[in-house]
Amino acid sequence: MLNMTTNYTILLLFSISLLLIPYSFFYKKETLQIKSELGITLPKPLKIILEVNIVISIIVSLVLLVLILLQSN
Amino acid sequence: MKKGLIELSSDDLKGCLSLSDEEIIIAKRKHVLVLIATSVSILFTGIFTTGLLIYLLYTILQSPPLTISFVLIALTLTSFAISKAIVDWYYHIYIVTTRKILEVKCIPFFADTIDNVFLDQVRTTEVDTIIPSFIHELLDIGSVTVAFDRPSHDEVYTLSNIKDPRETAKFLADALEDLMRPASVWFNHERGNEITKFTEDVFNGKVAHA
Repeated sequence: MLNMTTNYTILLLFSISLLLIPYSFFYKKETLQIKSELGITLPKPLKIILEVNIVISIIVSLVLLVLILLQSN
Repeated sequence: MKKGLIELSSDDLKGCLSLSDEEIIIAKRKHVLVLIATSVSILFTGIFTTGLLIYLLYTILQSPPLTISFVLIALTLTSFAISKAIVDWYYHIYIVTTRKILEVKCIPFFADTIDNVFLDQVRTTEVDTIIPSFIHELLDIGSVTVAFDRPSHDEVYTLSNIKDPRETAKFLADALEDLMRPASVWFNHERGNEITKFTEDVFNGKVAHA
């Protein structure tokens, strides 16, 4: 029973992490769009932070996917 | 133009100058310590939540997969929240030019606010400095409020939590006084003797000069 609940919870967290990928991607896109509209230059560290967010969300999704596969075996 | 009052580069400010003969007087963001305080509070909340999750899931429930999953999501959300705080701070700008006062607050994905006050359409009645506490005094953080009389209504414009508020308010008060006197409709220097002037009252068809 506990194992079943664990599986479903990890699946729920995986779906949240999947949602975070498009969010981080479009957040970066929107931020860059504001930059071009206002004409305010975005510093390089800030761009890197936004890119790191995308990478983090992808890595977290992959880790959770691996966990789901390990749990199902 | 005082250098300490312009915190943005001239390239960044080009897009904000849309009117003729417009020059930047003040261009500021909120104090960087405001950003640091926000980021640190988010970080502590994230660390506390992670610690709590580890305690509950690993120590009590003894489920390593659940612990790893929750901790990863908590850390990701913390990282996202900190980067959002940085971007929000970066795109919240107060600009005072010789023609207008502008507040730009862009929160990507959530909200955009651009508040423009044209200085030839208003009269400044007060420029106040607010330093709310001892800590703000020590760190030189405070707010500057500018009260306007518009022909239709009153409005208070606030430059909140900026660096060096006293100097900014003093400079702003002097600059606004200099700018408004020749330009504002309230002073009416260049108009003829018309009964439609704002500075005159009309009683029984006769003009009573203010």
